Amino acid sequence: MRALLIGLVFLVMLILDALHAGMPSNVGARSALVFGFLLVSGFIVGEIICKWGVPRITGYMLSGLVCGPYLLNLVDREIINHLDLIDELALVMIALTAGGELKLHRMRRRFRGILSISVFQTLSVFAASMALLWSAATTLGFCPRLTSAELIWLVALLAVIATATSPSTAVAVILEARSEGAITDTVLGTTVLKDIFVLMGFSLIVSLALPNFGLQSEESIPSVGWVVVDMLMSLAAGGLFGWMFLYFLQKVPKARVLSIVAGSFLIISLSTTLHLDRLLVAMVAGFVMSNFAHQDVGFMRRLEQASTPIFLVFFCLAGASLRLDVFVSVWKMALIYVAVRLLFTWLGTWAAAKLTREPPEVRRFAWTGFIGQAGVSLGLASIAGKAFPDFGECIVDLVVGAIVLNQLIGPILFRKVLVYTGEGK
Amino acid sequence: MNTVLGLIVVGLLAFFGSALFKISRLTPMIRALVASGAAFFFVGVLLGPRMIGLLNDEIVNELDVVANLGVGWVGLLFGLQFRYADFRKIPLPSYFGAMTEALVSMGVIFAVLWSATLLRVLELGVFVLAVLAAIGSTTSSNTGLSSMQSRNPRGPITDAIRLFESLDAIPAVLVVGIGLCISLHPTESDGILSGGMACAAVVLLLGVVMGVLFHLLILYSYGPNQLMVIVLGFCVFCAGASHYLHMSSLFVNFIVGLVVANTSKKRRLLFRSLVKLEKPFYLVLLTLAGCMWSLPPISAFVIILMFLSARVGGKLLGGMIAAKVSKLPTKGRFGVGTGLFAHDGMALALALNVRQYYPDMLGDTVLTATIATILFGILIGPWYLQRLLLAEKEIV
Repeated sequence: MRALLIGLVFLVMLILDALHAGMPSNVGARSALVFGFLLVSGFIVGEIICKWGVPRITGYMLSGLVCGPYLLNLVDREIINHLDLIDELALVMIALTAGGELKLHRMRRRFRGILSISVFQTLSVFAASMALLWSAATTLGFCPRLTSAELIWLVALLAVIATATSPSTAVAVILEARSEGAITDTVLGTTVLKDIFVLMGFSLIVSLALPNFGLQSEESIPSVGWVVVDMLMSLAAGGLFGWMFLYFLQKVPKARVLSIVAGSFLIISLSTTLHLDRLLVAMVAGFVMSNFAHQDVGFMRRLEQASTPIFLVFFCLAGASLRLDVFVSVWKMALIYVAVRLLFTWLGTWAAAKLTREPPEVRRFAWTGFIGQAGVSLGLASIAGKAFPDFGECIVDLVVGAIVLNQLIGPILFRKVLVYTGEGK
Repeated sequence: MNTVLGLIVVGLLAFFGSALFKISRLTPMIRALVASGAAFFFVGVLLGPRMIGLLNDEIVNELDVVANLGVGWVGLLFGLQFRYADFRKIPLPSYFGAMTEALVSMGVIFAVLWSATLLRVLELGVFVLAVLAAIGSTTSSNTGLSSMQSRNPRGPITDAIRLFESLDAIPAVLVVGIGLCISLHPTESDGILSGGMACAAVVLLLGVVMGVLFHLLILYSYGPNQLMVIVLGFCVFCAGASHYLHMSSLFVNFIVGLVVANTSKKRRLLFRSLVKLEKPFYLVLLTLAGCMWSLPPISAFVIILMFLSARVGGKLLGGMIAAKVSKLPTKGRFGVGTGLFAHDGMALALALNVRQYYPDMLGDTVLTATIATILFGILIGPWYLQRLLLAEKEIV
């Protein structure tokens, strides 16, 4: 029945496009139409797919992929760009959720494990990716116009991007599975901490590589020192915002869902104006609101209410943005990149967990929470692409190709693990 | 980023605004101003590009999509109230009374403005005349009977007014919906939708198809969050589709609501989900209307004055005839006419729907005329209604 419904919804959209022929185009109206269409179609596909034990977000992404520019073209690039506000709002809400899910009393117990997994995993993925990608690139003739020295920097950048994970994917799967437990806490904590390491590592490698190509740092590429200052300021701003917003929610008990949406917009606006890392600001704000409330304001419950439709459209748009044409051109190298990353994510997690005597389920399965890759990796690849015009295209293409695979494998595996270990439903 | 700022401002206004509804210490006039939402319209004007410019033209254009969604929301909510099985319980004379009141009011307003056009006092096309007549025929429930809830009005006149308030917007929605089809898709235009009637048929079909899809999807059981996603999804999908095809989003969503109300067992649940967000949505709509509003030329004020007087006349005559048709035991000369001056949400949604496609003088004139009647309704509506109910001994 639902399969028939999704067919009908797609048919309606195609008919609407046919009826529109000959009329003046209006991006705003089409964006609203696409937003509604994605909400409905993504929802139905998510419901169909979750019956097979696959997470809904995979369904949302598949729905976006089918509607996207490479298949049905119901959602084109112009509309995807026009709906970027949804991306920004969704990322802030994801960060608020990730922060809110980090419970202080549980994190205290796990901190040693989280720290060691973050360090081990980052280092092992980085080192192994560098070595193996370098050999693969020379064997497969990836980006053949580069010299050996240039190839090393290219591989170094790819390796640091490989260490990044997608907090949004992990959070979405955790929320859907309503999971709680050691794996959930470890994945959430590590994802947050790793983001900080990745940003610092990326800035360091870019600043070391630039002089070798006779290039100068652009304003958009911050120095390592600035990254640290920026993070400290973002942490402080997030804490302050969290306290103030919590106070507001406690004093004004009405329309809290609307307040949370307005608060998320406020974070976007303030972070942009003050040049802060909005994800970090939101994460800390979420952490403060979830851990330091004197009275229950139902923050997480209301955040979930507000974010459900936003997440749905966000992941549909993420699916529509997956560039299948690029994937086709780099699929061999992308497969190697993904395989190396998977193998050493597992190894790094396993070794660190064993060293810090984490529970067996963390040792065996937590690595699945780090497979997903999305916004952060894409953002870093695009910065590298602009900074290194000689080989930037190779980086962007390969990372995009890998994201297609990681986003399709990651959520499914992680969800299966959460259900298998009994942490999620 | 400016759009983000715009959304924050409008969102916060809606938030604080909806909290104001709860304050009981407000004076009746201020309460009516808040309940009708007119105060938020003025805040919108103040923040908009014509005054301090915190929300400039660019932001306002971007937020047009939100306004369209709000209009669609009103349509869906309105449509969900009409279930055939409930309709059958209404005695036929009462139903005829409500329709008579709406049609007579509409006819009077149209006739007055049309005569002025024939006498060359005004220069208005048939479309504007029809739209103004349709808007003028609606009655508010917020500043009408709902504002007297504390006095517990009870009796046949109260019931009739309650029925008229909820039914008299149906002809208006139809007139504006079909009127927009005819004016936006003239016969000589390109494409499948050329010709107003072809477009109206597509509107009807679109509404029915979307309504059926909506109904089929909610056959399954869902949690409250999921249900909200479906409601929001269909509301945006239908409003977006109608805006995309240059149709009335209010009309399309009204039909969707109508189909769902008559087919789904979950209509009450849906209605509750929609009502939960009604007030903030309504205030967002009003604030945006204020931002979009521009002062029409002085000549337009003649139209507005004539519209105001024609509406009063139309409501008095409509109320008088409706009382006779419904066989109401009224003592007053004008039947229930004096109890029907209040005007708000639906009228504003209709005016905004028109202004979306006519952001020029025409749209501004319609919007200004609507705001003028809303304010007029706030000033005299509750007072006349109270007098009528006191005379009929339905309140103490």
